Amino acid sequence: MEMAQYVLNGLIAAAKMCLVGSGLCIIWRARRFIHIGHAGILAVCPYVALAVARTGLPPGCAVCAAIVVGVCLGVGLEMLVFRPLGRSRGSGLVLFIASLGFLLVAEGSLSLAFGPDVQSLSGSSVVPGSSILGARVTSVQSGILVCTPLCLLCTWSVLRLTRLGRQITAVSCNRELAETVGIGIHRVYLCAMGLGSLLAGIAGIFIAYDTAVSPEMGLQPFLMAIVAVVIGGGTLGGTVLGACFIGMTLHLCSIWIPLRLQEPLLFIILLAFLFLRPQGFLGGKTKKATG
Amino acid sequence: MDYLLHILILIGIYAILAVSLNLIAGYTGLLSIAQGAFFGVGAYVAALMAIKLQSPFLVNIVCAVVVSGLIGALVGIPSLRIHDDYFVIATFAFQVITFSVLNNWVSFTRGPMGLPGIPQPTVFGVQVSSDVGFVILVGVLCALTFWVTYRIVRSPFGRVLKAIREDEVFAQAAGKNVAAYKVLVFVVGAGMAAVAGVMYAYYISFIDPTSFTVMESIFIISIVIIGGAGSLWGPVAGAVVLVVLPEFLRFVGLPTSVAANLRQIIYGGLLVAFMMWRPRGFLGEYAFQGKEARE
Repeated sequence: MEMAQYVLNGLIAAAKMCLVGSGLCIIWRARRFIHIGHAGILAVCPYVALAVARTGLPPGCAVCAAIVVGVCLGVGLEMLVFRPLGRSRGSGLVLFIASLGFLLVAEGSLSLAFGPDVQSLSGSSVVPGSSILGARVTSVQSGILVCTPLCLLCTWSVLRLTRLGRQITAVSCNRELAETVGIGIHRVYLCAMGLGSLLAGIAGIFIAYDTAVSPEMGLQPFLMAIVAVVIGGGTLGGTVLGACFIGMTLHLCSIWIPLRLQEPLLFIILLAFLFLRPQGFLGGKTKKATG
Repeated sequence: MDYLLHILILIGIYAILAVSLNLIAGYTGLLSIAQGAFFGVGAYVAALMAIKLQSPFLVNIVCAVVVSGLIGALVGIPSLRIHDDYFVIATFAFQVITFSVLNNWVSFTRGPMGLPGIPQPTVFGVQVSSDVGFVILVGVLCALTFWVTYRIVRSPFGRVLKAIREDEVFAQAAGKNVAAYKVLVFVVGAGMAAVAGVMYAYYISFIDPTSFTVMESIFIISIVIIGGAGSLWGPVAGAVVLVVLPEFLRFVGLPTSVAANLRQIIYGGLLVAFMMWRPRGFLGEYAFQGKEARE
């Protein structure tokens, strides 16, 4: 394969990680726990699209329906599970475990309802893609490459320029102070979960169109995204940097190492960062042991 | 009757696993997703030694415990620098890397093809071949593990573990070598999980990497959480409940695939339900709350 193909593959992987990771990052910073259920939403949305498409409605409807369901799921989780766990026992670990429970329920339900087999979202025809600088790219992949920066830009603008977005940022920086100033914490949480799940829905649909749909499809992209977030330092910009770094590294390394070693390589990179530079690319000082 | 014995053996194996994770997560407060990896390492070490060296059962078990303990120390070391969320991710990384080694180092572990033909164990001259024999062997090891945990928990070592769980900085300020305790508890926990792995390998007489994935670690975590973290009997109760529960589904007559998915849904639902209404689990004492939540 030509170098251009490796670079392009790396960029596509990076784009997927950006989408998943940005949603995850927003939720993580605002809500202060690792929402592993994010992987569940990544898997549920494509299945909703699949189900809607099977009823004969156009793909556009299917995608919209899927994303709406994804956002509702995220918001619903916040209202029904995470919020009641709130102050009385809402430590990061408890929320993580509840989120893990949701992931198990989601994957099991999808497998029960649709079967455990891998299915295709885009139908049966194989469409030849186009060529950029000697590298082959499918139309879906071009879509990913175009949409991801757009989504990131929109997200960034929402967080920076809208009132709600700035409130989310405020809560992410200093929850207690934000509360004192009068920002409605629960509303912010709902919006953060909604925004994150929206990004997850978009990411899930893209991943499903590019590869395939299966009940466990969410965990792999989630793991890659979480590594991107961690080595990026926990900020949105860091996540983008981290995603690009991982995407490029993994795919350029695949020139020399077999593909099946990509996953352990990913985690060795993670461990290296955790040991040597725990604050990641752009993070501030790391949290010390509290109390 | 055979079926009942089989269930008892599985309960024993998972009870050992849950007790081992409980020491690390329940008593010391270090939630770890790497227990499946220690389980696997123990199983593979014993299996490889039994098949290739034909060494006796007791030698294999000791070697499995030692190797797993060393890897446990490796996993414990990051806990000194990274905490909470990030540490959970680090243990995740170890789990994935270990699985990848087991699955990809085909020349050594036969990768996805697994290791068949693990011979039956011979303990003190008695060959264990029947299910009853295995029940007794697992039972003895289970009791031994439980007894070791009991002694640890009741000792000053155990009290320091709990102190680390409740307030790590205070424990350090009181002069305790928190780093050493954390690494040690991982060594012990990993060693115990290896014992379960050895029993699993000998009982099933065939192992492959798919038994030692992230989902296995998550299952062990579920047992500890639902049964109750931070208490002696909690993990045992959890093992009984979570091993027996899917068997009921089988009795209801559901096809295997449906039962497997329902099982996963039930585990997930139980996790969420317990976190909302009883985070300490059935018999536990530690509810995974942070210091902020208790103020």
